[in-house]
Amino acid sequence: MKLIRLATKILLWIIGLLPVLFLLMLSLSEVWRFPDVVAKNFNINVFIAIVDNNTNLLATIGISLFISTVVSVFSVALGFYFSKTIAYHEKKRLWSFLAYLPFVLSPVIYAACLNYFFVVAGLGGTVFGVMLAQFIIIFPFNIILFLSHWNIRMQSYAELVSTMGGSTRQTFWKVLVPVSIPVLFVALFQSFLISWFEFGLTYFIGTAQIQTLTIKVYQSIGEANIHLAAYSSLLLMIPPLILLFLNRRIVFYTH
Amino acid sequence: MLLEVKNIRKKFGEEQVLKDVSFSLTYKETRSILGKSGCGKSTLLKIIAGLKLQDSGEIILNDQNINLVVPQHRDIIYIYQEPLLFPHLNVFENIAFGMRLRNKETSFIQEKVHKLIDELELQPQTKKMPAQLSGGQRQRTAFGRAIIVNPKILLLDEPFGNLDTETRASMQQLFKRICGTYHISSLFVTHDLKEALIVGDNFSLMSDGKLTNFANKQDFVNDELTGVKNELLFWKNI
Repeated sequence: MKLIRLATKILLWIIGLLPVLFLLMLSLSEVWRFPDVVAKNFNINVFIAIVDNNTNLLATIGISLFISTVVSVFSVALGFYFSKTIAYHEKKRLWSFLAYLPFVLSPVIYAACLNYFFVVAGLGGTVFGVMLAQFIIIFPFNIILFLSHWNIRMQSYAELVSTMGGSTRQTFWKVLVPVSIPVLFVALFQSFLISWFEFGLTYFIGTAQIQTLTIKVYQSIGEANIHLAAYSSLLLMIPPLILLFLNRRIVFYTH
Repeated sequence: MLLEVKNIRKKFGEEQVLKDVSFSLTYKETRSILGKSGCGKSTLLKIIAGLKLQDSGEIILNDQNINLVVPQHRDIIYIYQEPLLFPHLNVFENIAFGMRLRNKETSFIQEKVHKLIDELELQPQTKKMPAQLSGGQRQRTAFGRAIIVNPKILLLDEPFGNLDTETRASMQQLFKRICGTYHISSLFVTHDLKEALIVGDNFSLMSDGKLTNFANKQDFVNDELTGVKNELLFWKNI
């Protein structure tokens, strides 16, 4: 029984790691021609060449991290706060419906609709414009995510603190936020991922001038630069993996 | 008179939940309010706590009308059926919570909380998190968290409803003892006849939104609607 469990575990790890190993092989190799089973000429020179070769990878990573971090932090913080107001509002159904609207249209169509306004406002092709566009999608996502969190139990916590003499601010910071830490981390993680892997909206509003890592991967594939695409994909996977690890640790710890 | 509730009426939609409810509460008194589920007991307590607004009627606390006073300034604490301990705080911090809200000095908090923890027989649980406690320990912690700030009135909404028979009986005795030690005035809502008789000094019966107050325990026992007579008859005939 133990052996089967161990074998299953190893198999799952292999299945999980296979795409990563494949990308690693592609990014470290110089040549991979048919009919070779594996690529040839492995060395880190490919890494160095890519970084040195005016590909602006470091700047791209920096912009991607900046956009995703700012957008996820702001949309989670504001989503958490406003979802509480909506959850206990007499017109909750209307506000919830409005929060779903960006998802009824696909983000690309949504971006196409918004593009004109962004260009007129001078936000097209700017980092701020991309962040704002992503926020318009990720903020309602957080509203929807948190709406179910504001249940009768949370309301009872708030009522209890108020009868104990706590102000609204004390209730929020001393009880509601600490009690919500696990769901806040899940929301932060999800929001970061949506922003990190966002392509259509970012491409449209950024007018291809704002180069995030995801856009870089698509471009590299389009240019048939398989090694750069593999290298970019590897980099693309690192922050989500770190977040996944942290998220698991924090959520499990707080539970 | 500590609390006077006069002609409280409350309607939810078309349903009249409270119909001219009136009663009074004196210092150090516990009034048991007996009633079935859904008869309006919780609504009454929430109105007194300021968590819900009545349609009409008056609530007078220490000779002052508190109809428009927010819950934060009423000094009336509501204890739910579920202990609702803060899951991110241990037993000590849960009990100290009200004092932390009032920015009391750490040494004062330490002294008061430890004294109360001893009274509640929670010493071995001091550093434990709520998830590590039994039902009775949780309710004792919730109880300590409420009384440490010396509220004018405690409102208890079926606080022992989720406990097993044995724990419930010991909690009822503990409640009586603590009420005596800390001179607590309280309204104790329950659907359990025996519990109402054990914890109460005075008695009321709530049925279909109407509250009947009894002058003494004997009147409560003699009234057909309270069900005490039926209960006695059952035990006699068994």
